[in-house]
Amino acid sequence: MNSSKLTLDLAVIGGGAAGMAAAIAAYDGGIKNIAIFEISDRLGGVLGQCIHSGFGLHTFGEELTGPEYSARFEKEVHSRGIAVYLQSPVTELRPDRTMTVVSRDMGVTEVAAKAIVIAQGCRERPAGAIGLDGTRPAGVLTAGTAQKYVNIDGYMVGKRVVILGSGDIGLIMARRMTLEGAKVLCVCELMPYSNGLNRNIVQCLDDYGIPLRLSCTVVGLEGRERLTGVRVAPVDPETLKPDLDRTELIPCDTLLLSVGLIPETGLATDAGAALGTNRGLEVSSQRETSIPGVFAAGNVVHVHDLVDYAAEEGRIAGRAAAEYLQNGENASPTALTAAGNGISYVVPARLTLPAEKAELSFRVKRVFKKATLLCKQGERVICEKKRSIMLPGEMEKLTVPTDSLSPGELITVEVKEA
Amino acid sequence: MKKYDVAVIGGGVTGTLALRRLTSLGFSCVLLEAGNDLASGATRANSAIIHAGFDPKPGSLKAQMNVAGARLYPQLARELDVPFLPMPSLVTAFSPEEEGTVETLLSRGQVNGVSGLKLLTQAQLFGEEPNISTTARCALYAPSAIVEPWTVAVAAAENSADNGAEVLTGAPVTAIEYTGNDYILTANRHGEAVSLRAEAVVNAAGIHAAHIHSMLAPAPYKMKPKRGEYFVLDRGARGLVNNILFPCPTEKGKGMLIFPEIHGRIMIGPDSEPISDPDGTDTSASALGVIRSAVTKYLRVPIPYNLSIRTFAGVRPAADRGDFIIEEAEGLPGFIDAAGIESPGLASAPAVAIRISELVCQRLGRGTPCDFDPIRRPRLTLEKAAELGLPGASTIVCRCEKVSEAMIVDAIRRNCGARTVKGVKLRTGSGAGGCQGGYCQPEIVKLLARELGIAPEEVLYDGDGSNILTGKTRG
Repeated sequence: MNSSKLTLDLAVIGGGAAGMAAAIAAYDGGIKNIAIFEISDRLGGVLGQCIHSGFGLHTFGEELTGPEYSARFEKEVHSRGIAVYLQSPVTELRPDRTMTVVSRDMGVTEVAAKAIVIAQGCRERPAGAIGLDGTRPAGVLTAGTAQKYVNIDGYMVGKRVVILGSGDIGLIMARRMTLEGAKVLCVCELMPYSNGLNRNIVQCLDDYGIPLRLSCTVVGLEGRERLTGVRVAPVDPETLKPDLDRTELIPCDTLLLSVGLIPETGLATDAGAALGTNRGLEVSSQRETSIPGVFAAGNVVHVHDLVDYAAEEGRIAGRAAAEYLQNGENASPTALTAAGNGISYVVPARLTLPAEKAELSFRVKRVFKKATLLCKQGERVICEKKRSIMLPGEMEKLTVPTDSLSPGELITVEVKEA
Repeated sequence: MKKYDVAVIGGGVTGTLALRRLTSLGFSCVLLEAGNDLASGATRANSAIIHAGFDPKPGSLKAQMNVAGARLYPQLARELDVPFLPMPSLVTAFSPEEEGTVETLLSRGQVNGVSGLKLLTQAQLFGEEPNISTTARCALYAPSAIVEPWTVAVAAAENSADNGAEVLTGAPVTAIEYTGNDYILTANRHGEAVSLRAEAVVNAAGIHAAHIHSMLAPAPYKMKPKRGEYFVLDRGARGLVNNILFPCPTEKGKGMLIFPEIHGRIMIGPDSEPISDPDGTDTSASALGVIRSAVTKYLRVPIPYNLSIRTFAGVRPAADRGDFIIEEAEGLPGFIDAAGIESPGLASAPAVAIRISELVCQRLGRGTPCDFDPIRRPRLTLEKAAELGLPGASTIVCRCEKVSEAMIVDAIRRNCGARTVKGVKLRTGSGAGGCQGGYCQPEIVKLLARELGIAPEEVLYDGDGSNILTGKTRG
């Protein structure tokens, strides 16, 4: 059977919030021949299983559930007549912007696109990545997988639960499992602070009397076929080393992991796209990757705290892709960015100059209280901003005045402590 | 009671390849595997390398079987559609003393009949392996290969079953009786005792071989389980090494390796720790720490452990004789031990199977090649399923490894098909990638439930009691 062929102005890979926002923005920017390729059988990405509310405060000024939030975007996509191919994974992407799609509706399809936006999101860091002692019993799963079982499939994954990692998914699942009748024994957090949003600690743990054990981690698994317990140990807040002499066994049948999210970059890096320092795709201020005409947005670039921010990045990439299609490659010079003292990474990795405005997103490496954020080019301080508190769990943004920036010289963001 | 010519105990590479060989010689055969799936023991967790054969002591069974087995692999892999990739081994000397070891290994390999061995100078070594440490002095280059080891067992069993052999999983043997003419074996199938008769018994029970033997008579060997742990780094680490990188061996073993596995991930390990529990596949931070410090000196670049997606352990089915044990038990005509098949057991397995079949033929006084189709129907690929327009061909279940529903259904419906989530992983790669099953596991549970006609709560991850779901939600 010959594979079918499809020629597009813009192909969007991934139909989550960032992908839909990119397609909508590109369409509104004048590009009509667009298609979204979505691997699953519906748009919205992980929003579909996030049945709790709290989405959309920034974009819509109200609190929506994940599916409601997604529905708003889906409506915008459909009202524009943007083509959506569901169950259509892109199996190969090439640097000439051709790709192979195995599509439910079209079969194996060769797609040639003049521009591409990659919006494949991120995945959860698995148990194997943290190397727990013991065998590999059932009952150890990531919080997002548990969320899918519970919220989409209607099945419970356990009765007595320990959660490792106080990121938002871990906190949300502590509440969800409790509401479904499970006993959540505690949430352990390696760091001396939580990486989750404060409102989630209050609404998901405190309201249900679930203890949050900071500077504490799971060091081992008990049980051969199904988990029978976890061994937890206190952690030195400085070295992050567990004190194995003070290990405690907590009998339980389930361990949920919320130990980090990793941008889903495999398809893009196989095509030769470069990675940034945070393991996400390296992008310019237009969200163009190192491959000309291939843009990226959302959690595949860096993991956002709020879906609103992922969607906003989608809009930036969509608009930039439209401009690229209309005016060709932006040949303006660039300045590279870098993470300075106390900063773990900066997005974008490259600022195209001159520009009307430049927004830098980044995370701090640890908790800073009463500190100042500095943006410098060379030794020149471009701007500074005081912050009463900064947490690694909350993304920081700096809007940098661009009239004093010049191409060529490295732009750094750093923390200055009082 | 059902009667067979031969009963094979153990569904690892040794047992399944013996089953295939014996079936091809016209014997009616049954295989009994204790685990819920084939490849439940050492076959599932090892270095997955077809060693060249320079390491075993000349004249040993290990040396003979390794060299002969490795030669049989390319054809075997073609017939059984087993992922197989030739890849050189580089045994590297990091000190002047080790240069001597490398030369010893070269001559030992030549005595063992290994072809294609050569010494690489430092410059050649740097050319082959750009990331190797600047302290590396020279290396032995040995043509080897990497393979998907569990697929060897799964495919050999499936191919045997396609040709009429019977394969029972979840069937631990609980008793064996010698009648004077034949053997009566009893297995526990989900709480029910099942008995069968066989004229010959092949004991390929891996680390449990002595226990099986002791059901008839005291075993003339003892098992010496040794655990080996590994790191698996995701494909982002591709290119870290291009060959199977060995240090010089010591009396403790081949040492810890860095090497690409067949799907482009990087494996690091194994250590070697004597243990008492034959099923002790626990990992420990301390052992993994030992591996990390041992391999640090191999490379001039840091190893990206942040790309680790899994750590695991396997138990080597070693015995106390230091060599393979492939022999008919004294006073038990037709009871063939294939024990102590530790490394290079994977490479040796095709030759070990032939050796076993010779012993069986000798005892039973028959066995000639019969009408046997050695070709296993190839595994379904994503593109092939889409081309055929199969249901579920574009429903991607595993995003990391691009495995469709159609591919998973095929893996379940075959002879010796998957019955557990782990079984699906072994047969399709679904769950072996970067997310380690985070996306695909809920879908695989649903597919297994549908295909096996059971409730999702009854679906097992692996062994009995490894249920994933505990009930329905309140909704």
